[in-house]
Amino acid sequence: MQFEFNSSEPIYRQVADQIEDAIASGGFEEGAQIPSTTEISKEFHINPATVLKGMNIAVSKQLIEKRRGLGMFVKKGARQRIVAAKRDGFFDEFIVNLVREARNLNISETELLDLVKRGYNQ
Amino acid sequence: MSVLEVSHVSKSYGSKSVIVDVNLSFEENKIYGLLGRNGAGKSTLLNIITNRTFADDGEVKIDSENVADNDSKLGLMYLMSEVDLYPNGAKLSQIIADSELMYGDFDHHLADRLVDQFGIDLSQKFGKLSTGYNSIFKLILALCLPVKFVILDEPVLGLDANHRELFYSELLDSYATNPRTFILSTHLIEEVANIISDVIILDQGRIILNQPVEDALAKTHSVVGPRQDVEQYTKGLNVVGRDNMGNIRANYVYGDLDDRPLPDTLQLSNFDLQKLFIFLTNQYEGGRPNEN
Amino acid sequence: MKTSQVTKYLFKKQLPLIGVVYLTLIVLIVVLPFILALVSGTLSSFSVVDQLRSGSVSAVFGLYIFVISTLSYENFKFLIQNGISRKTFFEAQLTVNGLLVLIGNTFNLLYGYLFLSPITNHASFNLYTGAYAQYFTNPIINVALNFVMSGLLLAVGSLLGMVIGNFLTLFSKVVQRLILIIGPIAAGVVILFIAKAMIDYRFRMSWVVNFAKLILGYQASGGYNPFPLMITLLLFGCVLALIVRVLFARKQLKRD
Repeated sequence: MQFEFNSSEPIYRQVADQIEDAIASGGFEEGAQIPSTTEISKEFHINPATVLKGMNIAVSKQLIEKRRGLGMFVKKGARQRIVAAKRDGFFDEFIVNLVREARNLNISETELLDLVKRGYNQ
Repeated sequence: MSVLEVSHVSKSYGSKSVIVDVNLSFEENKIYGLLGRNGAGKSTLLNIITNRTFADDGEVKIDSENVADNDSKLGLMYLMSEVDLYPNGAKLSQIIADSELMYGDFDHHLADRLVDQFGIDLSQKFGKLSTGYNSIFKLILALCLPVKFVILDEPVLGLDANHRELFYSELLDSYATNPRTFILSTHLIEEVANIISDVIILDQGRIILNQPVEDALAKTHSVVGPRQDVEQYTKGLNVVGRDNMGNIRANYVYGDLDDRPLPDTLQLSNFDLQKLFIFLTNQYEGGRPNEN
Repeated sequence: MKTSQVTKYLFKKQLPLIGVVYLTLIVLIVVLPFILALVSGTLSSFSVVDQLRSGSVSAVFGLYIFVISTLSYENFKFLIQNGISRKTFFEAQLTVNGLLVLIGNTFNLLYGYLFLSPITNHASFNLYTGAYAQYFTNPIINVALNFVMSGLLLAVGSLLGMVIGNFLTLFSKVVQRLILIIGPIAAGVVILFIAKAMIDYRFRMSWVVNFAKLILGYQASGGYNPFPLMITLLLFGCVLALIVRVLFARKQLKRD
């Protein structure tokens, strides 16, 4: 796990995002156990309550589940759900910004589409 | 439930007010950060809480019982302070044995591990330790004695980077296995920013902030953009700090924003605890009215 | 209440010191004079018995208990660090000093009755044996009363030390030194003044003499009654203990 924290976003959300990213990238495999609240807390010097809050977001998103007495495990289909959710957010998160930036730089629609094509061909 | 309550505590030395009408409540199993600049009154407040010195006014209670002259309540707290109250020349292992006698218990299992990890030799004599090992020894006592309130005043004084890392990890480990209330008093904010759940800022003897860290940070807003737009947008808001870079300005707001629409030219984000602390405790910058 | 733990802690710290005190005592009243005699070449006239007779074991123990009673800030620091209240500290300290008085007093009397008296052929070795031993003829009663009176004297000495020491710790180091310098001078001046007044108005001040006689148990028929002094010591001790309690309650950590 490679957690890096910045200061401008609430830590619990960053914990949730990092867990999500780790699952999406395959760092945490489906069905596998993830580090415990205490382990994350100790390793990154984060209050355990904050870590737990982040974990609970991941739980509510159906990404991880608690197995009584064992710990937290990545749920089956978690990666699929993340991809689906990211697809839903793709337009708002990336396209809107991309277009705005392109307008600032006077890049036309056709030019932008060409650039996107070039990106795919790389 | 063990709650530590400080109500209307004031103290002055001569004509100088050191603590001014402080009201605080420390709830069970939370990690509090008591932040303040040097001389803000942190140590004095902690000395009053642990009945080492007397307040001129007000009282300190645990579970609605005054702690003054009260063994059973005083025995629920351990204050690790910068000032050394152990007899110079006493063997460290002897101090541990005596402290165990007074508090009635001591976690030898944890102590053995900490001694091993920090590499401290308990056959040494107190008073002959380096600043770092002096702190480490007192931290071991703080973590291993059976108290409900572990109060640490400048805990990492003299510790090198590796030992600080180790200390924060062990603190959180100890907190996880044996939840109790911690009060970390420090001016090194960055290091404890994510560890503490609640922040208390003491400035010139007064409490100027007392909130869950998350709530406090949610109220921080940095507004960056062209000067005119920034000034217009933050007019009437609680601007606690400013940065200038040519015509680009950053105004730091603490508090809620209103419903004004954010112009496209402005960028809005949160800022961190360290910055907030600096703005709130720096009267010259934070208190400056809207000028230039 | 953690009185028993604190008592144990304070007592354990003090115990080795008693040994040191008695060892120093032997060095001071036997070994040192012997070496001096050796060096000065007067060894032929040196007598251990003479040395023992002139040195007062009881007085030295009294001085020791007085001095250790004045010291309490070190212990206060350790105890407040460990969440021990001033009240408990007071009770434990009183208990420990009581125990020390008991030990010292027992040693003093055993030494006096069983060692010093026989080898010096002299029945008097302390206040009681010097002034009050004639009041009762029963030796057992005398030993018992001697034990009580000597113990009370030591206890009052200890309490006096506690009052002075704990009064001084209320002040900063500078003020403490000032008091230590000015206090004795002021006391000397007052005593001189009173003495002068007593000499000038001997007859008017005769109540002072009468009062002293009353306390010491002076009898017109000659000899002294031990009880007035014992009762006085007891009452004085109680008053001092109350003052010490008040002074302990006011202890706090000094600012460095």
